[in-house]
Amino acid sequence: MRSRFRKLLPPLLIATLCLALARDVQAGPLKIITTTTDLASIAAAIGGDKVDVQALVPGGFNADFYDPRPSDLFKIHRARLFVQVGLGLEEWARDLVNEANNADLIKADVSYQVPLLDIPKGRVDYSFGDIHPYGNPHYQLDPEAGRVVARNIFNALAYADPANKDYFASNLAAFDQRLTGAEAKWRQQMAPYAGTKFIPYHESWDYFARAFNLRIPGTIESKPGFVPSPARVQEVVELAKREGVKVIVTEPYYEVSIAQLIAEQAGIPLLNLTIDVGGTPEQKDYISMIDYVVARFVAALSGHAG
Amino acid sequence: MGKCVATRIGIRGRLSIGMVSAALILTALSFEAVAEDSAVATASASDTVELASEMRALRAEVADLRQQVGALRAQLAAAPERANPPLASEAGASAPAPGGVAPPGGVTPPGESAPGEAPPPGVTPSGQEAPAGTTLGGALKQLLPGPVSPPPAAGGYVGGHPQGVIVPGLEGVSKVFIPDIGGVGDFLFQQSDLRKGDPRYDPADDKFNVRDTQLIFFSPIDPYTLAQISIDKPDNGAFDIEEAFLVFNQLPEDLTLRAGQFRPHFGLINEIDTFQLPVVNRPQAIARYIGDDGFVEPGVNLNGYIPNPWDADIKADVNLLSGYNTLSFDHRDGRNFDFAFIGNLIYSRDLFDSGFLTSGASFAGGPGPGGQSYLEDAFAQVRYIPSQRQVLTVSTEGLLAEREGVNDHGVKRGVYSLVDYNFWLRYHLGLLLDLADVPNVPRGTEFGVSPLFTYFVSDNTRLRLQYTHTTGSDAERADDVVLLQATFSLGNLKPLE
Repeated sequence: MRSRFRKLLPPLLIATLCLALARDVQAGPLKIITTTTDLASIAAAIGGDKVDVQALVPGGFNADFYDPRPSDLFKIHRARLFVQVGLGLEEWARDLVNEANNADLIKADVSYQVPLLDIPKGRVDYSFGDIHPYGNPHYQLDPEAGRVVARNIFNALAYADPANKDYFASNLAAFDQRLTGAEAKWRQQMAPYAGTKFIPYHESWDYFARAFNLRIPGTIESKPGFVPSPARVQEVVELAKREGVKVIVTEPYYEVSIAQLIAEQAGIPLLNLTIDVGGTPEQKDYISMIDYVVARFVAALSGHAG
Repeated sequence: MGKCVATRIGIRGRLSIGMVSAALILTALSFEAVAEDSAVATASASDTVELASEMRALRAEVADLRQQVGALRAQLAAAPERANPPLASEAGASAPAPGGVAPPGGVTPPGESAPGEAPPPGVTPSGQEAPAGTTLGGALKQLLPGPVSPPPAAGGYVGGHPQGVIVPGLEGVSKVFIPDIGGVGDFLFQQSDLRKGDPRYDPADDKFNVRDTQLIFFSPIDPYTLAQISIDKPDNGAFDIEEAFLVFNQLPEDLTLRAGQFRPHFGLINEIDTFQLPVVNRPQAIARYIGDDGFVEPGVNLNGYIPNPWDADIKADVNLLSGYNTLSFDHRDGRNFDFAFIGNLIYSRDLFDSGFLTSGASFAGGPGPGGQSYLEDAFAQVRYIPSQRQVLTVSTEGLLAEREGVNDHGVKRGVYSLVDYNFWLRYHLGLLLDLADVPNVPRGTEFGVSPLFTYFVSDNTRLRLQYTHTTGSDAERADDVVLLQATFSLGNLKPLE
């Protein structure tokens, strides 16, 4: 029995592979794969019912150290457009794209023209930690960056599906209008706290600080991606006291206990916040994601929540 | 002097906009100064008709240059708008002409780029690597006034606390056309309780060993092809080419062809290097019949997804290889077609919210040392990921080996199971159960149990402690080994996880 199986298996495998030649014709909405849920939300807003968008990294996960699943390859295999944050945030994406057996895939790096922060100059190596040599990729909390990303996604969509370019353009205008309205509200909410200092765990809040005129005297991590030493923890406590820092901020996937310890020792509140779409039920889309973050921030700074 | 100016003017057409603009401004300024000097000099001498005429000509040229500088300034000012297309709401127009006119930003269709047309900003057509910001727009962006930034607290990363610093620079320039380079070092200390006289005792094993050193180069070599080369120095061996292959991943029908020397897909772990494994050594269930380092063979590989009515993730992979693996194959037996064949079918699906299942079967066949050899393998891996800080992976793989002409006394079997629990971001606990028939020994079986602890110092560095207790059914006494492994991998070409 087994020897018959052996004789049959090689031609069987070749035959099944040949079936791949009878390629399934893609029909229906344009399939888009994004790395993050934030990008998926913006792509869905611009693409409307002409697109089918899926994000690889689930909400609440850190795209910086995501471990791809085999199904991610398959999703990219079936997609027409692949959208990523860029700037080295998703180093894992390169192999996925290369191995997804998709010769027609269009790749879009939406960091193009985002006004970047933290571009290192001079020698860059791993002794500085997990730094991003092309600039800080955590720009999703800056509404202006969101606007640029939306425009980049529009460009990519218009290229991938030129027949629906007008439709995408009107959706882009609508998204821009909603974002502008929301941004005005956020600025009004944050205005009383201009110049307020806070210490985040990681460099994921620099764009937020720039957007809303806040100050960051330091981060809990002494080097990006590395758990701070006890000496560093003490340094940050002293820094927080010296600089009159009002709040410590972290995301749930970092060492929350360390952030908690610093907050307690400095006598200030801790904000443990997800900063991506889907991180909490309230963060349904890109605008409500920032809405949630601003509301929590304001509550913490006004002393109503921690 | 006029001649000199004329020469300078003559080059203007060959310069880029920015350079021409700068050159013309400088030329015009120097020309004016020169002209005034000339005028003074000539006035003090004689006010000849020739000089007056030359002055008029020079003044006319200055006026002409000013006009050109103005035009170029206007062009330069318009450049950012082209590089940064207006929003639909701003442009009103964004309503582009139907019928596939290039969208704002100049998106270029795959394989249809018009000569001289800029690539789409941030958008890479299929078959090309992302340009990492080295676009004309990116370069212009650096030349133009940037966004308002908070005052820099510290420059660059000196001191390791960069905060809100905008540092202008041309992103990616240093990487242009240089292949990605990776480096690997795998160091092992081993101590067993075997004594001298035991046939399994090898004094070279119970030492500090540089088990593997690799240099890896990877790059797209044209819009359709990727290439990778790994130069390897195994323990006590000479430098060697471990892998050297081309990947054609822009083939019709989404097929991918790999050609050269590579690690073919076979079972669950053959495709990854030994230092990348979640345990120190390749399980004996596999290593007994394929070798401590698995299959690495010259040949060709073709793979693709199988369309199916269930839209399931099924991939097929076929390989035609030289059959160098001496444990199971022998390509030098003089037959006309003495290649080894490997085929795989792999099925994957998501499980839970963020976990997955991968399962599959592999088959290898070809001329062996004394006749035909066949290897059949089945595998499954389940990963449960309740959070990024806690990941549970359970893997199991079984192998059947039948090697004609080898004194195996029938079909040999091996099976292992590995549980890896990533219980905190960089910490793993593991347990390997490894059962293997012993080749060339009737009913010979060995069973190993290996608890292990792994700590990732960073994404690039890993420390591991493993204890292995092995018992055998052939009356050999039990063997205990402690292994300490330190491994680094730079460049993300062969990641440790």
